[in-house]
Amino acid sequence: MTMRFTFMSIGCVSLLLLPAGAYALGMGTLYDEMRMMTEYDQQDFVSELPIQKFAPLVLGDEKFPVEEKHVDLSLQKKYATVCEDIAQTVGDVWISECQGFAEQLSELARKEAWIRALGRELQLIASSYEPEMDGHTGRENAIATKLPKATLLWQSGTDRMTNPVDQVRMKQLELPDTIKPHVQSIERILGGMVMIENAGETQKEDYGELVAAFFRYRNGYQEVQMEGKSAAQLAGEEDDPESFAYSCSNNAANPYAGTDLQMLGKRWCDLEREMHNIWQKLPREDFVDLGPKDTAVFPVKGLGVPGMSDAVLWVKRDDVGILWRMPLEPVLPMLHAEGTPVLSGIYPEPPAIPAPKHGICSHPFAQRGYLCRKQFVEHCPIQGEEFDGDENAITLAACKPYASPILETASGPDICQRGGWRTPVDLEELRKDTPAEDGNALSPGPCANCVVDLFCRDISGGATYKKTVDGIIPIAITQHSIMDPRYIIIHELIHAQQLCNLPPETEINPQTNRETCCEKEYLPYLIACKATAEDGLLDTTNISIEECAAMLANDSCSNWEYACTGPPADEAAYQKRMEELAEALKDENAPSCQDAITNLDGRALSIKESLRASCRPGCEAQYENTIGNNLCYIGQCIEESLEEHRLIPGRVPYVTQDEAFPWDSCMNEDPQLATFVTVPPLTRTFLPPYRGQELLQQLDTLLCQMNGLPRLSPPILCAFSPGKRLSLPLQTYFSTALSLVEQDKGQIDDTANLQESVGNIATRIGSTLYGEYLEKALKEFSELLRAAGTFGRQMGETAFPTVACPRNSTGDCEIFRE
Amino acid sequence: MGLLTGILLALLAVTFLQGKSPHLTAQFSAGNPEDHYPILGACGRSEHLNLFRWVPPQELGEGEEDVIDIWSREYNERVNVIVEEYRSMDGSEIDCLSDSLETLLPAGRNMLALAGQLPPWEDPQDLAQLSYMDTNTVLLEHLRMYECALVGRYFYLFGDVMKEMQAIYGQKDAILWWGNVFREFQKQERKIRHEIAVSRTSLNRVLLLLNGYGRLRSLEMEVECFDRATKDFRNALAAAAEASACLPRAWDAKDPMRDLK
Repeated sequence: MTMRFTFMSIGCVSLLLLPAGAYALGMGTLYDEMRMMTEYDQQDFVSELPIQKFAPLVLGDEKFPVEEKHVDLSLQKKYATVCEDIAQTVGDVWISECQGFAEQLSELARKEAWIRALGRELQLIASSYEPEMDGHTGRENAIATKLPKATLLWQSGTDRMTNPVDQVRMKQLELPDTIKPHVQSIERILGGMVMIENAGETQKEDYGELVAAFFRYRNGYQEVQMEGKSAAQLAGEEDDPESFAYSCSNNAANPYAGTDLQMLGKRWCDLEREMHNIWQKLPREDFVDLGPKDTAVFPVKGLGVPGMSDAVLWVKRDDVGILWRMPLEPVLPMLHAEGTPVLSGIYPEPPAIPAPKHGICSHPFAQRGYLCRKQFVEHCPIQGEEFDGDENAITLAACKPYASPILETASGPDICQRGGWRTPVDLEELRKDTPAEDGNALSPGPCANCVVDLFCRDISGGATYKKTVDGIIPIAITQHSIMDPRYIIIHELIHAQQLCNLPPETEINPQTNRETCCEKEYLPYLIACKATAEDGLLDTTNISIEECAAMLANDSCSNWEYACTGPPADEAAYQKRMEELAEALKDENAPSCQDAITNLDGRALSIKESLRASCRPGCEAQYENTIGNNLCYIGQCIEESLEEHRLIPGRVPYVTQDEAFPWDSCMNEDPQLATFVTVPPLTRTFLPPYRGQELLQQLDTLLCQMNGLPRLSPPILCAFSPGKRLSLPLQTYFSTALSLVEQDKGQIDDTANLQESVGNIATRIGSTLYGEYLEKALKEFSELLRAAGTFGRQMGETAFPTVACPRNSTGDCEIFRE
Repeated sequence: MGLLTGILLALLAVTFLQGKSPHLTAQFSAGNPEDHYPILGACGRSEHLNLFRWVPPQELGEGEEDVIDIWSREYNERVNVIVEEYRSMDGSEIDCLSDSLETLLPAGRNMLALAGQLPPWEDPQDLAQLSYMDTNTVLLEHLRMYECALVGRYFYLFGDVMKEMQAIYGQKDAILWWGNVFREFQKQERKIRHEIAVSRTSLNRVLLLLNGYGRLRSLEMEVECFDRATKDFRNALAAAAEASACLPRAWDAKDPMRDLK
């Protein structure tokens, strides 16, 4: 049901009163524009074009046929001129009646102007907050672009594979010259949206449609095209210009058609078509190394649009849009269309209030906010019966982490040993593995302790067998599993990594005890689930990567009930989510087992390459130059050196690092580097508590204190009590009455002052909360850096001996101390 | 041990860079100590004269710019220049080795020139403490001076207008009628009222937008510094990784090295 108000368009209209000429955007610097806007607010002689057109449509009739020019004349109080004009058309009119009518015309224009001015004020407030935060493409925003870039520079390949956060990589490319004519067409179309008219005897311009177009396509034309489509309909349409069925109709599916909000749903097909042409001309050959969710961005192009100095066209791999970088105008409600007034007040039914135990984030509007973003917690959100929090608290969403499995490692190099951080050096060598059992045709070679032999076999789920004496790890891949072969391969390759550096004939036998099973299965599933999330398979569910891994690990460790999560609060809900996960992981376009092994996924290739040792002489290693990957390389080299070899010259002993030469005992004492440096625990950030009730109580206290009373609730009880003055009257009745009025007024003034200050107080409280949040969010990172700094500095201070170990010396360690 | 030394030197370089990286804890643009400004005192008779000068009647002419026009033009020009200067600061000048956020990005030249003429920063020591973060405060103090000048003019308007008109008409050797004085008085009074009504609201709107854009500026600058430090750190570690590739040369050495005495 829709609510309808027949109230005359106050809720939708406006006007900005102009001294002369027309209000135009982009007429100068920011300050010039703001000053001009303020001057128009302060004066009321000239109406905006939409109001000039709207007012006569609403008030004009046969008795008083109003023309557009009468609106400004009425605002200027030239009622006589208006009435003379009308009298010339309809004959004699009563001057008092006509004057009343002209006043009504002026009043309507003023009210509409007031509403529009209010809308602009709100837009300025929004513009002052949002552009820095919204991260729209085309915005100059260091936080949205540089921080993710820096994050990628810190990450190693294994971080990327094991981090349970779905990340998007970005690639910057150049736009082809062939788009130039389309950009010019876009400028022409946008320029044509500015309405210029002289009907009111003053030239006026209306930028409403232009502004609306910029707001409409700020998220891209494909976003508009896909409005109202289901996820299934969208599948397959996103990246392929051939299959992306572009269609447009100027008034198609506008949910606001016929209302004052129609500009919000309007489509400009000629504009969309030009954007679509640009999108079709993007260099797709440069996208081949990008994952399904990765994106490519192109430099923004400034648009020459009248009235907007900072309008740009932005282009991404998946969409094209236009953006007004600093929007000073909102999309104002439509006042007239095709010669008829558009009355306001038709709004859709408000969304339902969230049910108890469902969290505020279940609300359709709240769901889109930052605070309600997807939480990377194993089981989130939990709702209904599973929710066991305080019902009286304000809950955004409730989540429940599972107990993380403990990681067990064997002796030997193990830094960056789970996942892939290297890029293949010799693809041909890696692809020697065929879908059949290759056996001894494969060999680990001098650079690795193992080699995997992937083959297809009709079994239930994949299987990694024990390493043979020749260093071969046979892995059976199946078509029949909850995941398709691409992800089964990734999962089993991680098992191979677990085995690779262990002695031959060692077998992964996760079914020995619950903890071991979870440890062995959780990480491989985590990496496989991350891959499915990267490929968009989990997009249709609210199942997180960690929850996917934990549930699949439960499934693998079926000797124990809920081995890796613990028993759920609601078993039926768990089963339902498991079915949901299985459904999400089904991919109709999945490759066959043979295809998956022959054309190994890039991530699987990286994992396979990472099975090789890093530092062996004559072995090449190749990786993306990131901080994490460099650390992986350094770490593996150091581990391989210290754990498998000895660096102090001497006879080779039975045990690594065993004393084999007299000079060993001349080593300095362990400097205890970084003994007191602890790596901070990685904990989740949280929002600082917001105690709304407490803050309100403080305000109540203040209100009461102003009137010299203790805190009372509601605070109205602290208002002035006339009883006091009445029981203690002044000398005359007049002064008593005056005192009553003044005391009351004084309190009202104080209260009004306090109320005015509330906004400032709230801002400070908000800033404090923000500060607390940031401090927590950044503290661990800053501590980590500080720890690394301390460790590095201490290593740099290490003093080395200036003499080599002598072959024949009878002296003691003193020779090293010089 | 040369290669280990290489690694350690590289790590030392990394440490040095890390040690100079910007603050990573949350900070706010706290500005300068409270006792410096803004001094929201009552208007004085002469403190605004630095910027809103007394115009000798000889410089004025009938039908030309009056005092209010001159003040308004100059005021708006100054605000315009400083607002654009603030907007154009893109962070390329930031000093990532500075110890505090206040000195991360220095104050704009035009802003400093204006602040030097305002009472709170007449002392060069006070002026030296300003940073780009104080732009809003300086603009607001500038506005206060403008309003003081306008209000001061308003109080003595009739007498000042009469003197100015006498001078103008005296130059032309023409007769000055009371009507001319009243008309000029009304015109200037209207302008003063208009300026007082418009200036503060306009500046507040601009500051609203600038503050919105500047709100995260400190964080953005830290991100910029973090980005630079990240690249340095990455390059230093890449050098360390190159050096560590030589580690196998030290593996399993069976003899003391090169000492054949």
